[in-house]
Amino acid sequence: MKESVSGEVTRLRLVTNEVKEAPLLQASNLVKHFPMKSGYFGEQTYVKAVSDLSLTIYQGETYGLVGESGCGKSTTGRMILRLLEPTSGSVHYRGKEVTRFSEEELRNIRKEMQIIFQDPYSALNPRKKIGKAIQEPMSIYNIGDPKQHKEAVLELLRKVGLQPEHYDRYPHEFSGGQRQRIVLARALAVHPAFIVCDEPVSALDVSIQSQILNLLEQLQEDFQLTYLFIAHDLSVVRHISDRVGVMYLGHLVEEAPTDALFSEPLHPYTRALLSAVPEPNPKKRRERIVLSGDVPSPINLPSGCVFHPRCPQAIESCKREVPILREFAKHHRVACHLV
Amino acid sequence: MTLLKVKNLKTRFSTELGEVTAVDGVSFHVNAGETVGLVGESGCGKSVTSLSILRLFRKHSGTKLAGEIFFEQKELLTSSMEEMQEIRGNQISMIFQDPMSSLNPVYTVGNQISESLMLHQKLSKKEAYEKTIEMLSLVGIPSPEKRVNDYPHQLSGGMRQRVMIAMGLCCHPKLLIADEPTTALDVTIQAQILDLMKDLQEQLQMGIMLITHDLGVVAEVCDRVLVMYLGQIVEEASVETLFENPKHPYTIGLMKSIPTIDGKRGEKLHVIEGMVPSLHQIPAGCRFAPRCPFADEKCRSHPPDLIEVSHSHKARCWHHERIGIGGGNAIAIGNQ
Repeated sequence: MKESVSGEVTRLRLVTNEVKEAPLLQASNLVKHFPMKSGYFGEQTYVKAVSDLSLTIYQGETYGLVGESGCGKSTTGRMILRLLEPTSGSVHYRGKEVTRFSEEELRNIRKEMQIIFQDPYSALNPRKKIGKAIQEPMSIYNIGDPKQHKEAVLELLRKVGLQPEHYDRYPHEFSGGQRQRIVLARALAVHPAFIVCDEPVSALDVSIQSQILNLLEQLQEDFQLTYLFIAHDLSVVRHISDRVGVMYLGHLVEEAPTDALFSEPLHPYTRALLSAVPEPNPKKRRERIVLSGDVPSPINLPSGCVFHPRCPQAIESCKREVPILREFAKHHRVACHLV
Repeated sequence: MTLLKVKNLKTRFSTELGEVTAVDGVSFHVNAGETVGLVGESGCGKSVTSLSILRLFRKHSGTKLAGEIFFEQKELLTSSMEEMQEIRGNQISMIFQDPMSSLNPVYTVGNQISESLMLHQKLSKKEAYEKTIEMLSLVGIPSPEKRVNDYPHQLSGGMRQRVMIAMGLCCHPKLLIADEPTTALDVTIQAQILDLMKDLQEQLQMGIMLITHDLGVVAEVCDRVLVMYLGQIVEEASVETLFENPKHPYTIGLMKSIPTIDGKRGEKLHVIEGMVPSLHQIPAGCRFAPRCPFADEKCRSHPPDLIEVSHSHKARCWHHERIGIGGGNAIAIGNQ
């Protein structure tokens, strides 16, 4: 009973936010090209990781970003935090342009914007006790009274479901799920408002994955967090997100509120992606849309719509014209000529 | 026809902290043309079981194998290494999760596939080369006559996994052991590979042992399923029975804790409390008892046996009679 009520609350909050509040974060026309040398004469080419991507994230919501490996979802997450410099485009956080911040301003804003990664093994210093690791951001940012830091760390440990006696232990003494909890506690140490979760559960076992997903939801409620949730697992994204964006080869091809996206996917790629998810129900072996071929190289993007070489419905104009992401239904944006 | 029969398999490793039994008394069989799924979380012994069948352990690793493994009429655990060499890759072949580390980076893929053809099928170099191209086109690699000369790094992840499958199937094995064959792949590529394996199975009538942690994949391709926990099989049933009427609390817990693509949203996920204990600290009674919501005194002190709960449905639980799931999409444990 309690769970469903909190679920309602999240959704209500989302609806009111969209009406009343300015967006928390706005990325406009983000582009990232990684330079690389190729060919015998070292010709300069570019890996076009992200192309002209715009998205808006509202206070208190979870925005899920899905796509297959190499589609540019992690690059997008990193550009939003300016861990990677965008080639062009801008990111606004609470109305301020992050992409123009000086080093100093950037350091300050990082208090509010945190990130957690897929691999909790490489995200923790093996030689640092976890109490110290969680406390460190507090000293760096002068948060609270240093004498009370230990108290604060113990409180955070409790919040993420760990014990006070874990304070003096080293990362190798913990399992993957526990490490992900430690990483979360460390991110929360600076009281962030926005967290990029980059594949936070994909390295975890099924039974541990659900523990961490529930924890993420609980923390969102307790600390009024906003998440950008990057993942390739569609069932997980559907479970946790309020709105979902689908990426393919650096392009945002569809964006909609979660229920709309999963019940009425409009882009042919989204449809194929959804139909490819194996369902844990042997009675419902569905008709799959099996896409032919592989994802093309991001060095030589296909002309027109980037999906056209694999699209079962492609027509002539798809090869020539780049489809623009436009609003098809309320809050439901699609980039496809056929919709 | 029974292709593979494993009886009371025990695999023991010696570690710094003493000996551990990674696989503890596992028995099952695989029929020709059948797909058997082996499901469980990391450390449950599913991969060790498959490595034990082919005896893929280093000579001096101190691994001890006990029990019996019959492949058709042949006992594998007592076979000589020469005899095993004959069987590996020829009659039983294996596909691993990570194609990048299972392919040799300094040989072309054609080279690697034709090697086993020349070795096992005694084909000439030219015949093997032609057969390799045929296999590459069979697994859906475009322009195979060009790709055959590629090195692994020139191929994408999906393509490499296809090469692994081509290599696994080139000698027309009777049994294919696929250890997480699609885990490293994206869903659209996974769908292609699973379809491909199914097609080839029909053509070649081979038995498949599919090792995975993904219940979705199990539901799509398996006929029968074995669920493993901490070195033991805790439940065995046909795929329909397992998903409709699971009897072991661990199986039920696993099913309930995965979010589905069309289930109810906005509810908290079910959680299996705690984590898998270390093999050095195996619980005294039922191995799942410390995490089980139904565990009582008996569970904590007496290990249950794997018993038949209904026709060809086995479970290892003292309380299987009062454990089950409710109807509909929402799986609920009833009659507690």
